[in-house]
Amino acid sequence: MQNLPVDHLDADILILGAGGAGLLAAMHAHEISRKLRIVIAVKGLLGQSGCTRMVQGGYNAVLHPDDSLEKHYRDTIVGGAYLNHQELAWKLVEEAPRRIIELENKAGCLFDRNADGTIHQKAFAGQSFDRTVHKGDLTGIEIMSNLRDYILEADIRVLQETSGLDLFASNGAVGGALLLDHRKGSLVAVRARATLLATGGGATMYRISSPSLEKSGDGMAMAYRAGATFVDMEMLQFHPTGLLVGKSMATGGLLEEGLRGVGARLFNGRGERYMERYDAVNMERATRDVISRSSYLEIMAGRGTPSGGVYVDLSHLDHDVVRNSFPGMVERCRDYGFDLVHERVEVSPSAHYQMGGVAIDVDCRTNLTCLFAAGEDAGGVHGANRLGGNGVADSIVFGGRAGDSMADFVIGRDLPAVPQAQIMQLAERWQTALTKDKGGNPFTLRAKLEDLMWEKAGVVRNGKDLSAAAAELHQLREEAAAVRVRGGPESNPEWSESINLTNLCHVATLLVESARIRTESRGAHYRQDFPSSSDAWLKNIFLTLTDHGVRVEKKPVKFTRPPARQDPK
Amino acid sequence: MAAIEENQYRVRVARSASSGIATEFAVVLEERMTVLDALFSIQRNQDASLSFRCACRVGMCGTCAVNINGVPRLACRTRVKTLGTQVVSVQPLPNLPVIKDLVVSLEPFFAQWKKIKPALRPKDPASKELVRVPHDSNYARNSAGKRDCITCGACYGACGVKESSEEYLGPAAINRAYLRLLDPRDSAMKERWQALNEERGGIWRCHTQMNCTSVCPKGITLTDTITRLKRAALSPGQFENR
Amino acid sequence: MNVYTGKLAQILQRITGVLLLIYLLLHVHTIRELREGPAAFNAALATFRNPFFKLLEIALLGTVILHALNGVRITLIDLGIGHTRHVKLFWYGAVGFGLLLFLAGAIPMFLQGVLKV
Repeated sequence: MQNLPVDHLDADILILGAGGAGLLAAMHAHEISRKLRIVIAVKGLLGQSGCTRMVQGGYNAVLHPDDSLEKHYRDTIVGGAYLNHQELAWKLVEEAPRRIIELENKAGCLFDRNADGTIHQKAFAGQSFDRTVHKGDLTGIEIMSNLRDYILEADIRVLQETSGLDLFASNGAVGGALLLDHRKGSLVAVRARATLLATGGGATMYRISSPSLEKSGDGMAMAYRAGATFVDMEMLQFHPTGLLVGKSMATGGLLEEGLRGVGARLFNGRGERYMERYDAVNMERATRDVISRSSYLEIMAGRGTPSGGVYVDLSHLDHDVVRNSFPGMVERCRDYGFDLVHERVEVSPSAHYQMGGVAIDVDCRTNLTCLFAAGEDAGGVHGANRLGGNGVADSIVFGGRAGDSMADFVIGRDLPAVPQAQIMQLAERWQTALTKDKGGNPFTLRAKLEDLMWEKAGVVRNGKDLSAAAAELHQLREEAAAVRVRGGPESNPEWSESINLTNLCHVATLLVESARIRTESRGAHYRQDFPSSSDAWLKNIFLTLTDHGVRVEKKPVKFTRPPARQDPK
Repeated sequence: MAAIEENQYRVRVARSASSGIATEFAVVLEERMTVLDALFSIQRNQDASLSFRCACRVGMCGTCAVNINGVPRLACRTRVKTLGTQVVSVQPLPNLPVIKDLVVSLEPFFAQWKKIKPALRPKDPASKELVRVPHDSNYARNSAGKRDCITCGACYGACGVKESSEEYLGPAAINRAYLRLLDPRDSAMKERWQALNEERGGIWRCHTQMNCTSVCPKGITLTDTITRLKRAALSPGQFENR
Repeated sequence: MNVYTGKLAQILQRITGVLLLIYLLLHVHTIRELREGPAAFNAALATFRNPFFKLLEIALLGTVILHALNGVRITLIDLGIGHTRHVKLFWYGAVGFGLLLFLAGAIPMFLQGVLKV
């Protein structure tokens, strides 16, 4: 039996994850009080891992006098197929603008400007106004590198290449978490007055997906095991234009939405502009769920391209405009031998983002005391489908709110008592894989999970496949718990993968369960056996793991802020 | 499904367990695959203990920088076919301590990065206005092409001065300092100039080898930044007119 | 030309710099003979007519050309020229021009001084 060393650390605020949400939380808490002991655990390198870094398109914010919060709110609710938590959605649009100012004037970002020096906002799908703030076609790098520099100079403690294994949960409260330093192969038990989940989601459970490779929904999985309540877990967005590069790891990486914003066209394998048949009004500027589904149906009907995708075509647009607007993408395509400017390129729907997540209130509190969630880990902001440009806005807005909320929460609060026995029990659970003589291979099982999810719980779903998926997942969870990992604990990629596998299986379980329950199609969730939306289903699905299994609750969406009706044209 | 051309390669990877001596692996790769794909293939199918870093795999995070056939490059952006060799040699980034196999410690890199005070020191942090930066402004013109650094460390690994000088800031940190000096919102010019003019570690240690410029995956002309700062250092007041 | 050509250039600049310094000292030392009158000076110069020294002179020519052209290149770079568009031009131009100059001097020097043609 392994007995890995366990370091002990106390903190006022423990932040799991260091994307936009995690770093904004740290920044806000730090600005409120420099005396707060903040500890950030990041799975990769600070500021360089996760998906905020990979944001291409931009960040939606109402900044122009001709734009309005009501318009942005309505776009968000309509885009979310009315399933959004309306107070959260309102907070998103209301605070998005002030965070742009924070990102620039406090964190040092500088987004693209018009010729006259005012901020440039570009067009994005599903928006009634061109409000997407950006830096070139690589906005995430600008945001994350500046936030990283802020954190470096604020001297906030960061544990790199360290991820959470489990939360210290008892009696409906969370007292911190057990972390693993993947590099050193040692454990860290952090006691904290408040803990924030900001690790991002588990879209990587699918065969073709876009996120950074280390992401595996760790925060969600830990929350699940600790008894947190989740909302609308069936809602997972497939981005319509993930690059297809054979079996390369590059497959799934996104060609951003801005392409469709400037007029890119989509063709099937037969050269037909198939969006005519699915949404003749919006064509390629329809929302992501509509396009992904249309592409997927074309591919399933046998009208796909040689690599099993569809074509995105910019060749009819001004070549210089394309080169100047999307230099990052043009260059990346060239790396693999594609010519995005002059030729059509094969793309496919790519699992991208989880709208569902841990249920929060406007202050990022979850149902577990002392546990907060922000960014992709949290659910409800985007309802059934997220608009491009609202994701990074979500992380930045709610990350900041979580920081404010936690800084206030910890005042006068004692450090929780975490029994040594609990720490040792959790430590043992995660080390067993290292001690086995035989067991499954985590890489093989991960591939199995990805294929299962893509085929049975993917873009197009049905009851029969979802039930089969649930059964197979049950089997996979057991196999995941029984894997065998070779080598020692230090820098062990196989061990890291086995942990990712378990976490993804847990998140997948919630997704499939919720997908089975929702017998309608709405936003990103499409069921062949229930292809239309029903007002009876204007409900959110809440799932909570209890001692007696998963408790399901369905509650009608609260229309606390009905969106304004469309302006007559 | 169309047939994708596949080729065989011999990939030599430096391993810590054998004190840096390379282990050779035979790998079959699709024609568009990258060095990163080769590393994953080895890890998944041949040697699960092979350690290397990667995250985004699309050239945005800068995590996977390694030495490929003697040149610091991003593994995810190096299509193996374009190397033109049957044997591909992969080693850790030079000038940085090796932790395991291809994983190096970036602590020295970020220690230098911190010396130039990389964060914005705003003159007015509470300002509610977005600074106006017209396309013909000093900032816009001078910062063009310099802002895309992904802190991959390739320049640091390629630098001939970094080979023997621990104190030298390195091109990336100097470039970052330059951008902050140009920034009309920033107020920490003096501290940054102090770091840049410092005898043992500042811009004057640069010998214009231009290895950094050759290897930067984002095409930043780093030597140009350094020579701009050298000229600016000789005529004070250069950055006052921002 | 590859990624590390600039590094090679710096090393060569250092080496040629040191060599030129040694040459300068030798040169000053020889010129001092002027103080001893024309006969002594001419005698000193006679040593340098033998083929071995002629070869050294050819080498000196190469050293000066290399150091000078590289110096010009670096000066231009310090002034901000040649960072993007002209990098390859600089290298091949400098090498080409340098080679031309070298041959223009070295060939006659070799033919007359060494082969005594």
